[in-house]
Amino acid sequence: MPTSSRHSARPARTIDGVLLAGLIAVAGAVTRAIWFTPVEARQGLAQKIFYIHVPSAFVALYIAFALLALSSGLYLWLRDPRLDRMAESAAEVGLVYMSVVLLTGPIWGKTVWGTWWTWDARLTLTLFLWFLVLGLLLLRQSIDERTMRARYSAVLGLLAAILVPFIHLSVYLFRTLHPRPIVLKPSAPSLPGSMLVTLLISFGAFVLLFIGLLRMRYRWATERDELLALENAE
Amino acid sequence: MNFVTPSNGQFMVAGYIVAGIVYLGYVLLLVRRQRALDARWRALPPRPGRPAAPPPPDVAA
Repeated sequence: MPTSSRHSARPARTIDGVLLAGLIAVAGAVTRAIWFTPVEARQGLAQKIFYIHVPSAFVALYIAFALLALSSGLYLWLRDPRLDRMAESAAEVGLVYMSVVLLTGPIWGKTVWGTWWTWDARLTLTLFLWFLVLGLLLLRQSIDERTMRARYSAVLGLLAAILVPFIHLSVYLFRTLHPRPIVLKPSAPSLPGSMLVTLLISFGAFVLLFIGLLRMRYRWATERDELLALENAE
Repeated sequence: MNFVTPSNGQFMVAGYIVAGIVYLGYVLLLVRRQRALDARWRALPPRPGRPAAPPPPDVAA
């Protein structure tokens, strides 16, 4: 018997409240980044891409794909369909964030490196991860049997997430154009106070947006599965 | 051919516009998907014991 929000008397909302709060927070963070944060002396205005590029990468790599790995691993152990839905949702939202990283990075790179793209370790591994997660979502589309689909995508989800530490360490292990972390490192952040505050606000805003997107995507997946169960029962 | 090199500020604007299109586009996709799913729920014939379908979007709070 399906159980969901559909049993409750609460009317369904198309847009989640947390998602709305996330969108407003991101709009606020962008306003602060563009108009109320100093311009970097050497890179100029293009450096402000930093305030969307870095938080998007942080959320994709260290939250979305960590959640993908955790849900996938737990699914293989517990076989709970809710974990499969969580992994599926985290993968899709993470892919959106990663797409922003891969689109804004070259725009910023063109101004500071003089090239849109270079096949160095950080960029290539990130692109590879993007294709792996895209492949995971496509794989899910191609398998009808629910448990087999969940099992295969859990294995692929775990394999994809294994890349995350390599991506983080790639700037230390290889010679790359991509700079080393300036915040997520053992020593203090190498960023002036006002820029650091803007970056932290952006982190918070993009995390809130992620939670909103994930909630909405997960709710959709739950209701889709319930509907399929009802349709198949008839 | 003469190409006009975009200014530094134009690159910043391009970055923010691209990110905005991706994030807002995904929100729009989620909304459309949810509405399509709600329509499928409403199309189910009523049966005793089945959870009620949500009201149409214009009635929903």
